[in-house]
Amino acid sequence: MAQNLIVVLPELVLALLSVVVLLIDIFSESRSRLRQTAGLAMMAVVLTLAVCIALWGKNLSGYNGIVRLDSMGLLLSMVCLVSAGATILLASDYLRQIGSEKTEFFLLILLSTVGMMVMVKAGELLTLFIGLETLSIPLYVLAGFRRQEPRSQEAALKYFLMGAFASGFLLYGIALTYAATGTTIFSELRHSTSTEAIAGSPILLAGLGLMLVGFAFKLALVPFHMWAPDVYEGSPTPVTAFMSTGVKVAAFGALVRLLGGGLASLQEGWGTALWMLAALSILFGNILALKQNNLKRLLAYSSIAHAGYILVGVVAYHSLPTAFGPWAVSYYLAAYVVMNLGAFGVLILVQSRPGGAEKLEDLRGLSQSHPLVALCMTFFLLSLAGMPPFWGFVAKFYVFGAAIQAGRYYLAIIGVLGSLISIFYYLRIIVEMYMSEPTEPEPKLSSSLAVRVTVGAAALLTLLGGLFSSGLADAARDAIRMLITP
Amino acid sequence: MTMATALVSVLIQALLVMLLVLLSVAYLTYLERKVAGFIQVRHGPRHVGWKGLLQPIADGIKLLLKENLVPGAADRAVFNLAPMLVVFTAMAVLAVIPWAQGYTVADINIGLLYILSISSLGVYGIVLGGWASNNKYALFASLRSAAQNISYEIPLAMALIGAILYTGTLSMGGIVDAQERGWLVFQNPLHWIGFALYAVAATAETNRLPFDLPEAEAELVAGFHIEYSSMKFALFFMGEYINMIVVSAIAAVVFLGGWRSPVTGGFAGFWATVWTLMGILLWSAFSYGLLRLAFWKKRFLKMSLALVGLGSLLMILDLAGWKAGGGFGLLSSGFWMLLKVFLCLFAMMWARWTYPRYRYDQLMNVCWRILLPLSLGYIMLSGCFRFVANALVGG
Amino acid sequence: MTDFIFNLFWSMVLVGGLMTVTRREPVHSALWLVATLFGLAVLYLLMSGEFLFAVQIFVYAGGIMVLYLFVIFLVAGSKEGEGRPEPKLHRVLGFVLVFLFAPIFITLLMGLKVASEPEVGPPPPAAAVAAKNDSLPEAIQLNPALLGPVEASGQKMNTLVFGTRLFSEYLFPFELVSVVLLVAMIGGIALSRKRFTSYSETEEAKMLAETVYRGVRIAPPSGEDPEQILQVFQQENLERHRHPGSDFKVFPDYEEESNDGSK
Repeated sequence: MAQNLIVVLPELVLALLSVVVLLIDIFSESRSRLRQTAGLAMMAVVLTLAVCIALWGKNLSGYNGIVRLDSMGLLLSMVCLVSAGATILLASDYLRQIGSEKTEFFLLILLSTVGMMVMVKAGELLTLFIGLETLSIPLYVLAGFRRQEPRSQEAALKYFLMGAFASGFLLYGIALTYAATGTTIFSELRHSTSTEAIAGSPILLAGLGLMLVGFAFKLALVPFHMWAPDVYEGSPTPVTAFMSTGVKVAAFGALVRLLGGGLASLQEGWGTALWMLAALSILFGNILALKQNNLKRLLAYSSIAHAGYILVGVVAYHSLPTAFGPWAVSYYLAAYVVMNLGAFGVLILVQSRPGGAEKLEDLRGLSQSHPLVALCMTFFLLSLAGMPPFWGFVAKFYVFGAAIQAGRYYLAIIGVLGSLISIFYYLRIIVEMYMSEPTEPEPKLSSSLAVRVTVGAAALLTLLGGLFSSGLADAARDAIRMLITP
Repeated sequence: MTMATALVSVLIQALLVMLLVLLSVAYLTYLERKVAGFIQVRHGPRHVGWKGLLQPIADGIKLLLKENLVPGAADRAVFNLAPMLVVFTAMAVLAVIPWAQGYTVADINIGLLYILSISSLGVYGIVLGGWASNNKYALFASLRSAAQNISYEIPLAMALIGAILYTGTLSMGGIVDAQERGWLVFQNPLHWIGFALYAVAATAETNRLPFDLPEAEAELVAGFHIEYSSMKFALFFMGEYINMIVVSAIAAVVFLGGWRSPVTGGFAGFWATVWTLMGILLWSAFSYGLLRLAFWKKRFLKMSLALVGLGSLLMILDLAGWKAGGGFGLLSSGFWMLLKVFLCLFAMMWARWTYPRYRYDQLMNVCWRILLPLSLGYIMLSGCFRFVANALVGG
Repeated sequence: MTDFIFNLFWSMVLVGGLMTVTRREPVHSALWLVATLFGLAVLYLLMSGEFLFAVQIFVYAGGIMVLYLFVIFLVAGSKEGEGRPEPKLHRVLGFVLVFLFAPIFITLLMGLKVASEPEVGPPPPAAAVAAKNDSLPEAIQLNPALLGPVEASGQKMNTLVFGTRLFSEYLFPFELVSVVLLVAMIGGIALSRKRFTSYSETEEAKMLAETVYRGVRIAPPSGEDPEQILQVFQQENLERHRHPGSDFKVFPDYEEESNDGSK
């Protein structure tokens, strides 16, 4: 009993704190309710982070393996929490600017994070699915948070419909998998798929395929990516930041657990499907990003490409103790979250000035008016492009290394090719910032300290992560070793 | 018993129950009018037959002979389907109710859930009838009815959940068995809350005053059945009265001991004795009230004396240990069950002719702000009592 | 008998599904979906999942689909009928439904009860079930592990087994569902709440002025001061302007009451 509770402690703490925040918010008479609730939500996130840190190093399984508390789960939980915290910091000013000061925003972020944390720790298919729903439903609402904005409504509707389809695929896949194997728990799945008869069953393969489609929708992998640019563009920018980071972490965490933990013996099947998805995502994501003028759309395509890179790590999964792949995935996710959040943070900063929009031209001459912001953005973009000495480079290095170790050279080649393409459009932004004259004389950024601090911290992490990567890498390596031992 | 004979016997039982219920529905309308007359100090129907007893038959013939009108703009298929749905769902529920000791058509193991689920389909009749009529009043009634039924289903189910935490089974027969030592409302005063919650929610579920928003003669003319005439109109009425019988029967079975007499526990053990004494007290109070009424209004005298006499006799026999055995068991258990159902029905009619209609926002407030928290609290407390009791008994 | 019922209801599920997607009238689609859900519920019953049967009907058919209808009514309202003559068949079929189908349905239930009583014979031994499973085409064979527990748990205790497992083994996902519900509730409120606290006075005035003009169906004259429109507007009865020509509302007096109480 006690062990069960410890295993789910972080989720429990965050869910209960969310309810507390909700109650305080409802009965609050304060004039600055938005700020107050944001602060409380931030405290909830920090407390949960502390709980995660306190639990670090434990390797437990709760409710007969339905939830697993191990280092990979904790690491990814913390990454999700960081993403949520950064989103809260980025959002408090933004909400006032768009004239939609609803405190529910923060509650939805918190509860969505609960879903993410469940997903990365799930050891069972239904729990995974319910975690996914807990994660998704708040995001459908958040995407439409700028109600007076038609694009935001469109984003919400598209995201909701696509998400519902994805859930349907996933659930049907789960049902078929259960029909074929008689269990939904990963450890038992691993056991039961080890027999030849079940592993080759067409029902199981159909189930696996449907589940992969569901995941691909959620991760916006090519060719299931159509919704992503519209949704990313229409949603409020902090929500886009959260969507492009937290959801990816949660879905990849669950994917690694499911494929690596439960369906490892079907590796031939899902390996083939996934490497095609990865290759398509890298190539198309990067090529389509070339033509974008809207920064949010550009970052949307870039995040599609990045999902492809991360998928390379999943494909490279080997059931050997020294496996490199899942570890590289976790590592890449951490790096990606930080640099992507930073990039969106800069976008929010730029949007905060009067008349500031999200077009590429709006960054014109940023280096002259705001050299520090421009420098931060440069850091993020170079890191996203995978240039040394930034964190993104190290992460990409490990992922492609994992692919080579697994003998999938072609994937590594495609990845590097994609990165080369991506440098072009990332550099385009830098060129705009540094080599063009500002259109308006000295546009002023009116964002609060919270946004600036978030962006600054992300920039610092992007740099330090690259310079001192070995320590983080070791931590991540430990995490994955524990995942492999069942 | 082979499958075929079993099926035939069940078919006959089912038809029998349905016929009896249809007959009692006819006389419920008579009763309703008599009660209304009594409350409004007038006579009610009294011209057709002795004391007006043939009035329902006359009404039935009249309705059958009326022209069957269908509005030109109505959605015909749905328009015709709606009244059938009301009656069908109401009747299908009758199958699991234990009318007397051992007299159930089908005592299935999820009886209570079955009743809840099938009767939750009954709302379709009203909603669709209102929509298909293509009349704005009817459509408003549909919308109200959908919202009202969905809302009140929740406290209704919750009140029953609190009760079945005590009985430990969903089977209607099992629930009666679980009250062998005393009715549920005697066992723990907590269940008075449950009973009250159930009573309010059930009244709302059957669309009776003070919750008859879907009909609301004053504002929506006749609500969902404004365009209905002839037998289809009668079907709506039948559905309503069957539903009244059903919710009364559930109340009797779940909270009031089903077919058991008030002294069912006898004097076996301390608590059974206490509950028996409570039963005697309740019966005395009821008899006293009834006789007071009877001596005031002399026309009830013979009926009341017979009722009190028969009930007291059956109770004494019950206490003397004459519970079991063929004919007498049926008489005793049937008497108590029908008496309870009748009293519940009477209470519903009483409420109808006493209280004014709720306003729509009041209706929703009552459900979501009062009934729902109360019913949640009832479940929690009921569970706690059960837990403590289990811990004390060591079971 | 059971085979007949099974065939009846799976065809009901299939036909209902097909009709759901082919009907043009949304209410009809919803009704066919109800039929599908009902058929599914009966299929659960045939697989001795009585609890699922009841919950499926209670939740899906009796709850969710009614809300669907509610939304369809609100959005689409009533429509003009096609004016076809009433088919006699409907009336006949309807009476058949009520006075024949109801007893048949009850019989069905009773039949199941009879079938589950021991005198009909014990449930087929595990070996027979396994053999039957083996005789199926390989593509649709079930995992043998699935065949065991159903039999072992006993048909009569389905609800008990369900509840015990839900509240012990699957407690965590079960509780997590409450978070999903909470999220949906908060999200619904966040989306539907009309007031934006941060609207400037002018912004609000503009919105209200627009409402006034939309209410009386003329476009707001350009160049007129919205503040002034608002003042005129506030002097008059708000409700009458919102619902011109109609004293009837679906939910009378609801808005005023709730606005008074809440912040």
